[in-house]
Amino acid sequence: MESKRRLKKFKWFVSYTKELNWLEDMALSGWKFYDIRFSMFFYFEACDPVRLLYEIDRFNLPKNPTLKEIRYKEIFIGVAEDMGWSVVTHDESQNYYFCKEYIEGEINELYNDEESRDYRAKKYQELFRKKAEELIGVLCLVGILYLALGLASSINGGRTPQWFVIFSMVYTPVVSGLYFLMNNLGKMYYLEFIRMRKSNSKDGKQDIGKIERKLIFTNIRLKKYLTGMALKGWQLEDMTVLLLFYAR
Amino acid sequence: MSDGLIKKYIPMTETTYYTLLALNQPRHGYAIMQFVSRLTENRIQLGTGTLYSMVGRLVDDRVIRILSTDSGKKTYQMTDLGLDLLRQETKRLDQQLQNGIDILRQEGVINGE
Repeated sequence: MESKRRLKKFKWFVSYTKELNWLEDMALSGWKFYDIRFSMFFYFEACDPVRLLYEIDRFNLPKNPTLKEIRYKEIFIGVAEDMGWSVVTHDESQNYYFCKEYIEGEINELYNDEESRDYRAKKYQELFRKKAEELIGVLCLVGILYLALGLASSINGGRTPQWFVIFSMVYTPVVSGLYFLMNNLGKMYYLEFIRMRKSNSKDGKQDIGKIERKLIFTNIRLKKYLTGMALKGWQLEDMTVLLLFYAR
Repeated sequence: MSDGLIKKYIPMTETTYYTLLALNQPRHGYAIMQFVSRLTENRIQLGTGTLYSMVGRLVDDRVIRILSTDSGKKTYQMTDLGLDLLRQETKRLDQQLQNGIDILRQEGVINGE
């Protein structure tokens, strides 16, 4: 049997929408996605150019899932297959890639209404919220260790070991930074998934809105900035301290 | 039937109502979607995400059950509990509709015999 030509590509995406659109473009140019490693090595095999749609989803199963949770996942995959979607692969962090051929007149997206889009978006936000929570746990542990070590050494009449002071001084801001990053990412992905829709934009691809990073201190400046953005056709949808989310 | 279930399902969302109507007979996911689209003249297009989260919940609450898993294809059907919920909801909707028609007729917004 003739073995198929294969292709391995290294690419790293922050935006799922961009990643999925890229996979779609690859299929259009004759490369069908079949596996992913470490969320950045994409494996393709040669195929006839075809419009394949890709979607991503996850089940947020705990380490030891209950029967009920496993059944949910099975029902999902069953329903998806009924509707023409097949599971391509999943990555190490349990993101499942679904694929379906584009067929005119069919429902060409996995989540096709506001309510269900919100459902998937929340799954991703929940994932990052959990990650952020774990970080806070670690931070508390270091804090308690710090206190305990301080107490122990003051009883002995000494001082807290120098290495630990330095360690906590570096560690605490790094972990706190990660915590805020996780929360921001959660929010960013929530908004991205909420906006994922094929039907609304002209070229059939999703309109992903726009995310800007800006730190503005005064109200007057913020007002000026937002008015400027509005004149360019961007409306503020949501914001955190550093990130501003826009929709057209 | 527990009060919790009644509270959860009555009033029922339109998509749940139509899904239960579809599952009066054994159907798989795609067949549910087609049935509902046909019945509502394409007004309601059940997507994968909607169907799945609903079916999972309905199976959990024993409103519908999984019939067969042979050949890998799952078929679902409404249980007696589901039928009872559907009956109650239809009765509620009927009253709601009747009230609407009565008032709008009095106001002359709609005319009827």
